[in-house]
Amino acid sequence: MRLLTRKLPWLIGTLLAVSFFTFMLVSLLPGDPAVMILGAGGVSPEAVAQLRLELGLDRPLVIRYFDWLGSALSGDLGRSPMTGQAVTDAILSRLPVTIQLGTMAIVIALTLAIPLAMVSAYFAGSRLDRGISGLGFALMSVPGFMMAIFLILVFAVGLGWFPATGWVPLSESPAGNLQSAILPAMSLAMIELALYMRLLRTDLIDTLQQDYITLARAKGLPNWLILTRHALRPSSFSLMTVVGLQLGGVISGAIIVEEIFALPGVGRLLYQSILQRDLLMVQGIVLFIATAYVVVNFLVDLCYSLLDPRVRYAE
Amino acid sequence: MIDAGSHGEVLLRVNGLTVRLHSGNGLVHAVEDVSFSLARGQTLGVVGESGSGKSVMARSLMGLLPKRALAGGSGEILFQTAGGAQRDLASLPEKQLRLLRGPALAMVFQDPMTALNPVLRLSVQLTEPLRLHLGLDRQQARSRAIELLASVGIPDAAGRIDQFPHQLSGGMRQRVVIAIALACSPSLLIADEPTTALDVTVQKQILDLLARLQRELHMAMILITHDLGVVASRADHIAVMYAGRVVEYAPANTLFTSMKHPYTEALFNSIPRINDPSHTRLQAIPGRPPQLIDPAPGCAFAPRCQYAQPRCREQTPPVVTVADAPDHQHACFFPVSTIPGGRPHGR
Amino acid sequence: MRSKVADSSVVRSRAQGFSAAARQVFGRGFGPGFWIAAGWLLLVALCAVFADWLPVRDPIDPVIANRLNGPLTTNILGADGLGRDILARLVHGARVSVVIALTAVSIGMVIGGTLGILAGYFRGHFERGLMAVLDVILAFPWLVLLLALVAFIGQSLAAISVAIGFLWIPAYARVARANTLSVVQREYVLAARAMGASTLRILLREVLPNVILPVLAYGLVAMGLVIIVESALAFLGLSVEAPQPTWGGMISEGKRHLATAVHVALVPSITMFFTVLSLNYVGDRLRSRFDVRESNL
Repeated sequence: MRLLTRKLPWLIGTLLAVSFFTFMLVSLLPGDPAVMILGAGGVSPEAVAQLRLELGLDRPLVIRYFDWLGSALSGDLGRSPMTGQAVTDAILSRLPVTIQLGTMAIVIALTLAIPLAMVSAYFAGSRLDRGISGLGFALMSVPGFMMAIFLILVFAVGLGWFPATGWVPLSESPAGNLQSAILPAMSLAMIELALYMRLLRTDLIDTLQQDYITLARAKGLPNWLILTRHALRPSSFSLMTVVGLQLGGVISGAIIVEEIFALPGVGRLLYQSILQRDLLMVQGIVLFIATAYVVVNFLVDLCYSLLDPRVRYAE
Repeated sequence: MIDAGSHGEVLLRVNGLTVRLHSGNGLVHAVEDVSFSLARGQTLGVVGESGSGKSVMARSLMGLLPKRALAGGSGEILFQTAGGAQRDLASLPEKQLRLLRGPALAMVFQDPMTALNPVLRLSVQLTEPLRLHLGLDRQQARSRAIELLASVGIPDAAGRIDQFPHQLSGGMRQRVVIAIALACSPSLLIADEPTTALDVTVQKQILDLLARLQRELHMAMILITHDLGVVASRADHIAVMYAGRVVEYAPANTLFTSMKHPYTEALFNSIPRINDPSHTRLQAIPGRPPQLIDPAPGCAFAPRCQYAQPRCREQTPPVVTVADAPDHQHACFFPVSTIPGGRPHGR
Repeated sequence: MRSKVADSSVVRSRAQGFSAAARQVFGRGFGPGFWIAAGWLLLVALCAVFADWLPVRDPIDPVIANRLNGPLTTNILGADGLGRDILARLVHGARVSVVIALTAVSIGMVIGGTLGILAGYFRGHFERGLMAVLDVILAFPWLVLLLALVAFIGQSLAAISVAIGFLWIPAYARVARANTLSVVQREYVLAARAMGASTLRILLREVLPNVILPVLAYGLVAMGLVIIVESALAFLGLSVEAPQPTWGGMISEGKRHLATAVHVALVPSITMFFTVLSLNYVGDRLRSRFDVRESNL
C-alpha cells in the first residue's frame, strides 16, 4: 500500500500532462474546425464566425482546456460537430472490438512465444535455436500491414478460409466472430511474438546461467521442471513489463489493422476522424487511449512490485 | 593411485580424471589426471587457488558441467551406490545420474546469495527433492522440510519455511542450502568453498554444522577451499591442487608437518602468523596461475617455483609416494625437506 | 608516490580506442549471412544515391498499355495499376526510405543522445524533468503521435523525416542516459574528476566514447524500424505524397490488385522485407560485438 501512495502522484501528474498535451496538440492542428464542418470554399465568413461562436472556439485556449477536462472527468467528452455523435458513446461502442483484437493478439503471441523461447534458450547455440531466432528476426522485419496483406493473400483470397474484411460481433455468432477476428489478430500477434520470443530467450539464457539453476540440477530435478519452474518464473517478470509497454505498439498496429480489415474499432475511428479533421473526436479518443495506456502500465508496474519477491521483500 | 588407506568401505574412487573444456580461445585443460579415494565418514580437503581446477573437478563428479562445454576427457569415477553396486559416474547416462543426485550425491555451493532461487519460497525449494526422490506427499514433505530447517539451526523453522531467500541473512541462506543438499541423506557431500562468501564468525558455525551433520549421517565429505586454515583441523586427508593436477596428497597432520611440494610450502608460508613481529612482509607467491589452454610441458608450477631446475620445465613430474609414508604422495622432482618441529626448509 | 594500482586500473578500464573498436568489427569473421545482408544494404544505398543516373525507366510515367503486366514481360519486375515500371519505382522509392531512415535516426541520436547524456551526467532536476517529459511523450502510442505530428508539419520529405525523428528521441535519450549512468560510476570518470578535469572535457573524452558505441550499434536496427514506420504511414496515405514513389505507398496501391495482379504488392513487400531484415541482422550482429558481456559467452 505504501508503494501505491508513493506512485500515485506520478500517475495523476502524468495523466494531467497527457491531457494537456493532447488538448494543445489537437487544438494547434492546422485547419479551422468550423470551416471543416461547413465545407471549405464558398462559405461566408459570417457563417464561419457564427459556428465558431456556437462551438465556443473563440474563448482562450486555457479556459477551453479546463472546460474540456472538467467534462471529461465526468465522462462527457463532447459531441462531434461533424457526426453529431457523443464522443464517449462512439468510443464505448467500438471499444469491445479493439479490446478483443488486442487481447487475442497478445494471447496468441504469448502462447507461441513462451514455448518457443524456452526451446530456444534450452538449446541455445544449436541449429534449432538459430532457426527459431531467425524466424523471430524475419517476423520482426515485417510490419503489421504487410503481414495483414500476406495473410489475406493466403487465407482469404487463396484458401478462402477467412473473410478479408468485415466484423461479426460476438453477440451475433461466436463462430463468425472468431472467423472475422483471426486474421486481424494474427497480423498483430506476429510482431509481438517476435519481440516476446527474443526478450524471453535472452532473459532465460541469462537465468539459466545462474547458480541456483546448477543447484536445481544438483538436486536431481528433471530438465523440464527446471525450465518451467526455476527458470521461467524469474524471467517472466521482465516479459510482463514488456507486454505492458508494448501496448502502445499494439494500439498503433490496431489502427492499421482495423483500417485494412474494415473493423469497427476505436483505431479505425481515430484514423478516419483525423482524416476528416473531426478534432473533438480525435481529442477524446487520444485522451482515452493515452489514459488507458498510462493506467495499464501503472497497474503492471504495481503488479510487478507485488509479485516479484525480489522487489517486494527488498531490504 | 592415491589411496584413502584402510578405512573400511571405500565410497568413492576417482581414477585418472581428466576434464577438457571448450572456451573462446581454445581447449582448457581444467583437470588433469586426478585420482583419489574416499571412505564414508571421511573428509577430503581439496585446497588450491582460483583456477586450480577444484571447482571443475567437483562439478564433474556430479556431472554438472554443461554438456556443450565438454571437450573430451577420461578417467573413472567409481561410486558405491546404496544398492551395493559400483557405478562409474563418468560414463553413466544423464537419466541415471539424475537419480543419484540428491539421494546419493549432493553439493553445497559457494555463494549463498545466488545459490537459492530468488522467486521461489523455501518450502518449494526444500520439498522438491523430498517429493521427487522420496515420494513424500505435500504434507509429509512440508513437515520434513521444517525438520530439516531446524536441524541446520534455523530458528523458528515453521515460521520461516514460507519465506523467500531474500528475507534471510547470508549465513542462514547457506544453512538452507545445506538443508537442501542433505534432504535425501546422501552418502557423499561435496562442499565447494561453502564459507568463502561468509563472515569469519559465521564460517566457523557453518563448518561446525557440516561436521556435525557428517557425523550424524555418516557421510563422506569433500571440502573444497582456497584456505589452508579451513582444512587444517577438519579434513582427514588433504589434496593440494595446482593447474588441474593434484600436486600433493597426505593425511592432514602429515601435510602440515612434513610437506613435500614447493607449492604446498609456498601456500603455507603465505599465511600470516599472529606471532610474527609487526611489519613482517607478507609472502605472496610471485607470478600468476598458469593459463590452462595448451599447457606448456613440464611442471606447471615451475615458473613460480624458487627451487625450479631445468628438468622441471621439460618433464611433468609423476606422482610418487613418499618413502615410509604410503598414504603421502606428491608430484615433484625435488621435494622440499622439512626440519622437524619447525618451518619447512627455506624459511 | 601516487598509487600505481590506481593508475593501472585507470588505464585498464579506459574506453577502447576507436581503432581497437574497428579491429573488433572487422577482425574476426562474420558469417556469410552477414556479408550478404551487408551487400544488400549497400545495393539499396547505391540505388538511393544514384537513382537518377541508373538505367531504369521513368518511375512516374504511366504507360497504360503495360498496366498490371507481370514480371519479366514488358517490364523486368512488372508494372503497377497505372502501368508505371515497378523496378524504377523501387529504385526511387529506395531514396525516400534511405533519406528518411538516415535523417530520422540522426535526429533521434543527436538530440536524444545529447539529452540523455546530459541527464545521466548532471542528474538532479534536469534529469527528473526530462524523464517526466519522456514519460508523457511515451504515453501516446507512436502512430497516434505520428499522425498528429504529420497533420501538423505536413507531408514533405523533410517533414516526415523530422516527425519520425522526433519519435526516436525518447528511445535514444533513454539508451544514452542508461549508458551514461553506468559509465559515470566507473573509476576513470571519478579519477578524471579528482584530477580537476572540466565538465566538458570529461563529457567529451570519458563519457562520449563509451556511450557512443552502444548508441551507434542500435542505429542500424533503428533504421529498420524507421522504414517500417514510414511504410505504415505511406500505407495510410500520409507519407510523402504522390507521384513520388515510396515502398509503403506501392504496397498500399497493390492491395487493390491482390486478386488479379499479386506482384504489384508482392515485389515491393519482398524488397522492403529484405532491407529491414538486413538492417536488423547486421545491426544485431554489430551490437553483440560491441557489447562486451555478450561476446564473452
